[in-house]
Amino acid sequence: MSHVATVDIEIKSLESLRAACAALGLDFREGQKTYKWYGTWMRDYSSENAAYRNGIDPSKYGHCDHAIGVPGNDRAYEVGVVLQQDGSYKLVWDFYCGGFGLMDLTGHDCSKLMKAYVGDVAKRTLRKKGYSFVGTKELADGSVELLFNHA
Amino acid sequence: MHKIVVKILPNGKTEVSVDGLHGASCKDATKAIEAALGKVVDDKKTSEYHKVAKVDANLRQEGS
Repeated sequence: MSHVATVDIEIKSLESLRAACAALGLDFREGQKTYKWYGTWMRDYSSENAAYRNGIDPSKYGHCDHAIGVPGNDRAYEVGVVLQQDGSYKLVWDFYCGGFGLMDLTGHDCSKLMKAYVGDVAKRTLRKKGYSFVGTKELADGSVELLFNHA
Repeated sequence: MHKIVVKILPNGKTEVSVDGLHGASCKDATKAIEAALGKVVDDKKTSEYHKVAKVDANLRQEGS
Protein backbone atom coordinates (compact mmCIF):
# COMPACT_ATOMS: atom_id res chain seq x y z
CA MET A 1 0.00 0.00 0.00
CA SER A 2 1.62 3.26 -1.03
CA HIS A 3 -0.73 5.97 0.15
CA VAL A 4 -3.90 6.35 2.18
CA ALA A 5 -6.19 9.38 1.77
CA THR A 6 -8.87 10.18 4.33
CA VAL A 7 -11.92 11.90 2.85
CA ASP A 8 -14.74 13.86 4.51
CA ILE A 9 -17.79 12.82 2.50
CA GLU A 10 -19.68 15.54 0.65
CA ILE A 11 -22.88 14.62 -1.16
CA LYS A 12 -22.25 15.75 -4.72
CA SER A 13 -24.23 13.17 -6.71
CA LEU A 14 -28.02 13.03 -6.53
CA GLU A 15 -27.82 10.07 -8.91
CA SER A 16 -25.92 8.09 -6.29
CA LEU A 17 -28.16 9.35 -3.48
CA ARG A 18 -31.23 8.14 -5.40
CA ALA A 19 -29.55 4.77 -5.97
CA ALA A 20 -28.65 4.48 -2.27
CA CYS A 21 -32.27 5.21 -1.30
CA ALA A 22 -33.56 2.58 -3.71
CA ALA A 23 -31.12 0.00 -2.35
CA LEU A 24 -32.38 0.59 1.21
CA GLY A 25 -36.09 0.70 0.37
CA LEU A 26 -36.37 4.47 0.91
CA ASP A 27 -38.31 6.92 -1.28
CA PHE A 28 -36.31 9.76 -2.85
CA ARG A 29 -38.93 12.53 -3.06
CA GLU A 30 -37.65 14.66 -5.91
CA GLY A 31 -38.27 18.40 -5.52
CA GLN A 32 -40.19 18.09 -2.22
CA LYS A 33 -39.52 21.38 -0.41
CA THR A 34 -40.33 20.39 3.16
CA TYR A 35 -39.49 17.35 5.24
CA LYS A 36 -41.45 15.96 8.13
CA TRP A 37 -39.97 16.43 11.63
CA TYR A 38 -41.12 17.37 15.13
CA GLY A 39 -41.92 20.82 13.79
CA THR A 40 -40.41 23.02 16.49
CA TRP A 41 -36.77 23.39 17.41
CA MET A 42 -36.59 22.54 21.11
CA ARG A 43 -32.87 23.49 21.50
CA ASP A 44 -32.41 20.10 23.09
CA TYR A 45 -29.53 18.80 20.96
CA SER A 46 -26.18 20.51 20.65
CA SER A 47 -23.65 17.78 19.85
CA GLU A 48 -20.96 18.30 17.24
CA ASN A 49 -23.15 16.87 14.49
CA ALA A 50 -26.19 19.03 15.33
CA ALA A 51 -27.50 20.57 12.11
CA TYR A 52 -27.21 24.15 13.38
CA ARG A 53 -23.51 23.55 14.12
CA ASN A 54 -23.01 22.37 10.54
CA GLY A 55 -24.23 25.29 8.52
CA ILE A 56 -28.00 24.73 8.72
CA ASP A 57 -29.95 27.75 10.01
CA PRO A 58 -32.49 26.54 12.62
CA SER A 59 -35.07 28.93 11.14
CA LYS A 60 -34.85 26.80 7.97
CA TYR A 61 -35.41 23.48 9.75
CA GLY A 62 -38.13 21.62 7.90
CA HIS A 63 -37.18 23.19 4.56
CA CYS A 64 -35.23 21.35 1.88
CA ASP A 65 -34.70 20.86 -1.85
CA HIS A 66 -35.58 17.15 -1.89
CA ALA A 67 -36.70 14.72 0.78
CA ILE A 68 -36.18 11.08 1.66
CA GLY A 69 -38.96 9.11 3.28
CA VAL A 70 -40.27 5.70 4.26
CA PRO A 71 -42.78 4.32 1.78
CA GLY A 72 -46.08 3.26 3.35
CA ASN A 73 -45.32 4.88 6.72
CA ASP A 74 -47.16 8.21 7.05
CA ARG A 75 -45.99 8.64 10.64
CA ALA A 76 -42.29 8.42 9.81
CA TYR A 77 -40.21 11.59 9.75
CA GLU A 78 -38.23 12.38 6.61
CA VAL A 79 -34.65 13.33 5.74
CA GLY A 80 -34.23 16.78 4.21
CA VAL A 81 -31.74 17.07 1.34
CA VAL A 82 -30.51 20.66 1.46
CA LEU A 83 -28.53 22.29 -1.35
CA GLN A 84 -25.41 24.18 -0.20
CA GLN A 85 -23.76 27.21 -1.81
CA ASP A 86 -20.90 25.06 -3.15
CA GLY A 87 -23.34 22.79 -5.02
CA SER A 88 -23.11 19.87 -2.58
CA TYR A 89 -26.00 18.69 -0.40
CA LYS A 90 -26.41 18.19 3.33
CA LEU A 91 -28.79 15.73 4.94
CA VAL A 92 -30.89 16.97 7.87
CA TRP A 93 -33.20 14.85 9.98
CA ASP A 94 -34.94 14.65 13.34
CA PHE A 95 -34.02 11.46 15.18
CA TYR A 96 -36.65 11.81 17.94
CA CYS A 97 -38.10 8.33 18.56
CA GLY A 98 -35.93 7.03 15.72
CA GLY A 99 -37.91 9.24 13.37
CA PHE A 100 -40.82 6.79 13.89
CA GLY A 101 -39.34 4.21 11.55
CA LEU A 102 -37.04 6.42 9.47
CA MET A 103 -33.83 5.42 11.24
CA ASP A 104 -34.64 1.72 10.81
CA LEU A 105 -33.93 2.20 7.11
CA THR A 106 -31.38 5.04 7.14
CA GLY A 107 -29.43 3.68 10.12
CA HIS A 108 -28.48 5.66 13.22
CA ASP A 109 -27.00 9.00 12.06
CA CYS A 110 -27.98 7.98 8.51
CA SER A 111 -24.99 5.61 8.59
CA LYS A 112 -26.60 2.98 6.34
CA LEU A 113 -27.65 5.63 3.85
CA MET A 114 -24.16 7.15 3.74
CA LYS A 115 -22.49 3.75 3.33
CA ALA A 116 -24.81 2.95 0.42
CA TYR A 117 -24.13 6.41 -1.07
CA VAL A 118 -20.33 6.08 -0.83
CA GLY A 119 -20.52 2.57 -2.30
CA ASP A 120 -22.51 3.78 -5.28
CA VAL A 121 -20.22 6.79 -5.91
CA ALA A 122 -17.15 4.54 -5.71
CA LYS A 123 -18.58 1.95 -8.12
CA ARG A 124 -19.73 4.52 -10.69
CA THR A 125 -16.48 6.54 -10.56
CA LEU A 126 -14.07 3.63 -10.63
CA ARG A 127 -15.98 1.73 -13.32
CA LYS A 128 -15.43 4.72 -15.63
CA LYS A 129 -11.70 4.46 -14.87
CA GLY A 130 -11.55 0.81 -15.85
CA TYR A 131 -11.83 -0.81 -12.42
CA SER A 132 -13.94 -3.86 -11.63
CA PHE A 133 -15.79 -4.15 -8.33
CA VAL A 134 -14.59 -7.30 -6.57
CA GLY A 135 -16.63 -7.31 -3.36
CA THR A 136 -17.43 -5.94 0.08
CA LYS A 137 -15.88 -6.92 3.40
CA GLU A 138 -17.43 -5.99 6.76
CA LEU A 139 -14.83 -5.58 9.51
CA ALA A 140 -15.24 -6.23 13.24
CA ASP A 141 -15.00 -2.50 14.10
CA GLY A 142 -18.02 -1.69 11.93
CA SER A 143 -15.98 -0.47 8.95
CA VAL A 144 -16.83 -1.66 5.46
CA GLU A 145 -14.22 -2.20 2.74
CA LEU A 146 -15.01 -2.10 -0.96
CA LEU A 147 -12.37 -3.70 -3.19
CA PHE A 148 -11.72 -2.76 -6.83
CA ASN A 149 -9.20 -4.31 -9.24
CA HIS A 150 -7.55 -2.83 -12.29
CA ALA A 151 -5.98 -5.21 -14.81
CA MET B 1 -2.58 -5.48 -11.67
CA HIS B 2 -3.31 -3.06 -8.85
CA LYS B 3 -6.24 -2.55 -6.53
CA ILE B 4 -8.05 0.30 -4.81
CA VAL B 5 -9.68 -0.18 -1.42
CA VAL B 6 -12.43 2.22 -0.31
CA LYS B 7 -12.93 1.84 3.44
CA ILE B 8 -16.00 3.43 5.04
CA LEU B 9 -15.26 4.05 8.72
CA PRO B 10 -17.86 4.00 11.53
CA ASN B 11 -17.28 7.74 12.11
CA GLY B 12 -18.53 8.50 8.59
CA LYS B 13 -15.11 9.28 7.12
CA THR B 14 -13.81 7.24 4.21
CA GLU B 15 -10.27 6.08 3.45
CA VAL B 16 -9.03 5.44 -0.08
CA SER B 17 -5.86 3.38 -0.52
CA VAL B 18 -3.97 1.79 -3.39
CA ASP B 19 -2.06 -1.47 -3.55
CA GLY B 20 0.33 -2.37 -6.35
CA LEU B 21 1.25 1.09 -7.60
CA HIS B 22 4.13 3.30 -6.50
CA GLY B 23 5.08 6.95 -6.39
CA ALA B 24 3.11 9.54 -8.33
CA SER B 25 1.10 6.97 -10.31
CA CYS B 26 -0.47 5.91 -7.03
CA LYS B 27 -1.82 9.43 -6.47
CA ASP B 28 -3.06 9.65 -10.05
CA ALA B 29 -5.07 6.44 -9.61
CA THR B 30 -7.09 7.79 -6.70
CA LYS B 31 -7.57 11.40 -7.80
CA ALA B 32 -10.97 10.81 -9.43
CA ILE B 33 -12.50 8.81 -6.58
CA GLU B 34 -11.24 11.25 -3.94
CA ALA B 35 -12.76 14.20 -5.83
CA ALA B 36 -16.06 12.38 -6.32
CA LEU B 37 -16.36 11.47 -2.64
CA GLY B 38 -15.59 14.83 -1.04
CA LYS B 39 -12.72 16.67 0.59
CA VAL B 40 -9.37 15.03 1.39
CA VAL B 41 -8.50 15.87 4.99
CA ASP B 42 -5.44 13.66 5.38
CA ASP B 43 -3.06 12.00 2.94
CA LYS B 44 -0.40 9.62 4.23
CA LYS B 45 2.33 8.27 1.98
CA THR B 46 3.55 4.88 3.17
CA SER B 47 7.10 3.49 3.06
CA GLU B 48 6.25 1.74 -0.21
CA TYR B 49 5.57 5.11 -1.85
CA HIS B 50 8.89 6.62 -0.70
CA LYS B 51 11.00 3.51 -1.38
CA VAL B 52 10.23 3.57 -5.06
CA ALA B 53 10.66 7.33 -5.30
CA LYS B 54 14.20 6.90 -3.92
CA VAL B 55 15.04 4.24 -6.54
CA ASP B 56 13.85 6.62 -9.27
CA ALA B 57 16.17 9.34 -7.90
CA ASN B 58 19.16 6.96 -7.91
CA LEU B 59 18.52 5.96 -11.49
CA ARG B 60 18.46 9.58 -12.60
CA GLN B 61 21.74 10.25 -10.80
CA GLU B 62 23.48 7.27 -12.45
CA GLY B 63 22.25 8.28 -15.88
CA SER B 64 23.39 11.92 -15.67
